[in-house]
Amino acid sequence: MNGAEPPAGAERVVPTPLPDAPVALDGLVYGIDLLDALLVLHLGDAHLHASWVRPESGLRPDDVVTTLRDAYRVAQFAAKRLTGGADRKGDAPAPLLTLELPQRTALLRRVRSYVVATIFDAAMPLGMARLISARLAVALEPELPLGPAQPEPARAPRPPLAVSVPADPVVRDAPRVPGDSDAAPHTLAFGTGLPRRSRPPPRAPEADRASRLLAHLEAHAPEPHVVRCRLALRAGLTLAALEHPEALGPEAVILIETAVQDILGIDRAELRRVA
Amino acid sequence: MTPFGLLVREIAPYGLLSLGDQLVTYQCHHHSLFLDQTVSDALGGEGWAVRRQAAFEASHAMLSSFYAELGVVEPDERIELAGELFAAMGQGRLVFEITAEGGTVRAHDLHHGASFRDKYEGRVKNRRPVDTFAAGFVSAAASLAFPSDWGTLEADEVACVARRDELCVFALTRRPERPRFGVVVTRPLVERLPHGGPGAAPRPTPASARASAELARMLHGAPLSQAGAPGAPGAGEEEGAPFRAFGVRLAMVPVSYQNQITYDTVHLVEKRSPELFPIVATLVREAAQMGAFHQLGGVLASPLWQGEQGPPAREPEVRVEQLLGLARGFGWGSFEVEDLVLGRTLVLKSLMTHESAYHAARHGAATRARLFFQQGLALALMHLLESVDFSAKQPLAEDTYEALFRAGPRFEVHETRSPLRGDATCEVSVGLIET
Repeated sequence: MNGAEPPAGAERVVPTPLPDAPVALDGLVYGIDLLDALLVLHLGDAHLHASWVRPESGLRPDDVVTTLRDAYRVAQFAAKRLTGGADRKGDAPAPLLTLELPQRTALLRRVRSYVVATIFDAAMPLGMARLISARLAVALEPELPLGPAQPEPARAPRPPLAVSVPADPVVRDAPRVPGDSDAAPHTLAFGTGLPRRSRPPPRAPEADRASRLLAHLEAHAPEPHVVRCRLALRAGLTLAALEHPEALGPEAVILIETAVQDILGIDRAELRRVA
Repeated sequence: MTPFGLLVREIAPYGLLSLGDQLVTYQCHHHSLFLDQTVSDALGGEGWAVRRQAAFEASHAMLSSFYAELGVVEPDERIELAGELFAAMGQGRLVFEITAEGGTVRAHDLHHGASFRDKYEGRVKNRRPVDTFAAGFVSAAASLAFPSDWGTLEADEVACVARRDELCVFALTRRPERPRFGVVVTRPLVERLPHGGPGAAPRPTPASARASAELARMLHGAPLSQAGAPGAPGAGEEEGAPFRAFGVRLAMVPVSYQNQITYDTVHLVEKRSPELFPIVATLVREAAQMGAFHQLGGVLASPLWQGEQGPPAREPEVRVEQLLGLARGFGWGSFEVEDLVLGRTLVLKSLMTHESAYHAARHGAATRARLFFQQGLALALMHLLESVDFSAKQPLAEDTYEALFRAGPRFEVHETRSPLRGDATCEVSVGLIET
């Protein structure tokens, strides 16, 4: 990111007026380098709710919006198969869809009945792209209509009506474990539906990965007494977050991995071989 | 060769140095590399642009001043003088092959690139060029030699020894952008800053004054074209090579460059991710601590110094004065010790330092601690007094500094007074962390 002004004359597509006004995105994308486009599209009819496109990117939102919606739909179906069907409350899954291309990286996130598509230049590190995408989705979430603006096709699962709690990009929600007696009741949706915390959640693989990365860095980086500070600064995490790797989510682990690569000057494949 | 030694003058009451009318300090490669690295850690790819802009501004001001003062107008003369100045600063040797349309510059033994290669080769597989100061300097030199309404000549480092290329090479192309300039910290500007009235500056003790004078004589008492003269820091080295007599690579760095990259980075982090401010402050302070430890300790431990001045004083009260004299000789400021309990407390104060002068001139008052260099200097002094045995055969080994943090006492530092916050002096206090 840098402090540069958004490019003058950035194309802003304002679709047919809706009951809920489209969102002005210029302020949100201010200073985000390597972001080519931010599109907010409806999951039901693929209409464009709001968009910002960097002029020199060559992207035309109307050309891609339906395709992106379809891709997300397919990802939802695949997610449903992978997770063994709809979740307990009958909600459609909300996968994070990542399209990695030689020229661009696109990340699609669902926010209620909308999909927030963030499209970056391929030079943007994937971890940073995921973090920015998550933050943009969190920032957009209160601005999007609570109910579906257009009725979805009958076959589509209805999005939840309740306002969702934005996922923290750093602290991971406790994972659900099938058959876990601490899981929320199946028949009544009490509270947030998160597992009760009467016992500590199982240790996730990310925690071990984060710990291994930290140990490897401290063993191999120059000036090891300040290397945690360097890592924190590069990854955009506080030192307190690094003190508790068990609380780090997968996105934070990717940020740490990218920072370790940069500090040691090695590529991802090499880092995964040694840590 | 320009008689460089005559161009370096002290701003007497403050222990600062000016080259022409620009404020400069001597810094070793440990400080330069770590500070640049911190900027990159904080800003990622944007760090290169921040550093190059700072280097361009500082170099442009310095070269413009010399060209005006010496009446140098012709492009060839300007390029030649720029190359001489760069080499005399200990930054390395430049070979210009440029016209008004651009060209290339080949660079030998650059302060940053060659130091990085020597220090980190085998430990870090660097993939990026590191010579941003040289890039900004080359850009300023070329733009002043071939001025145009169609923008400046911008330098990109296309090959760098820090990433295992054989040579550092810069490609110059004209960019249709108007150059941006901020306030440059000059000698007249510093002399106009409020300083507490006549006599407010501390008088250096005899030990401090002697160390300062001897170091000044070694560093710039003679034209650096005579670097091969016996006793001179760069004795026996190729002209333009960095000075290595004190176990470090020394180079003269514009105060505007050093502090612009520091405070621009700090301000950007404060604005974008305030929760990360303490981390960037820690790392900037670490750069100063690491640099001061190696640079001051390196002088006292060097055969060159000990051959002329004898071994360092055994008494910590005298040795700290010698170290403060060296700090003054390097242009860091005129410091005095307010309180010293060896291994427990050190209070270090100054009327004005290069960083307080820069911040006052460019950014004005501050509400938070901003004297990172002085904080790092005080920590380094405490370690040099407490943990280094200068009577040993090799007082400073390669891993001495890192070993300080594996075992031994831990210290913390607080900025207790600052003219940027309305006080009359700059004061920092180091204390032992009880475990």
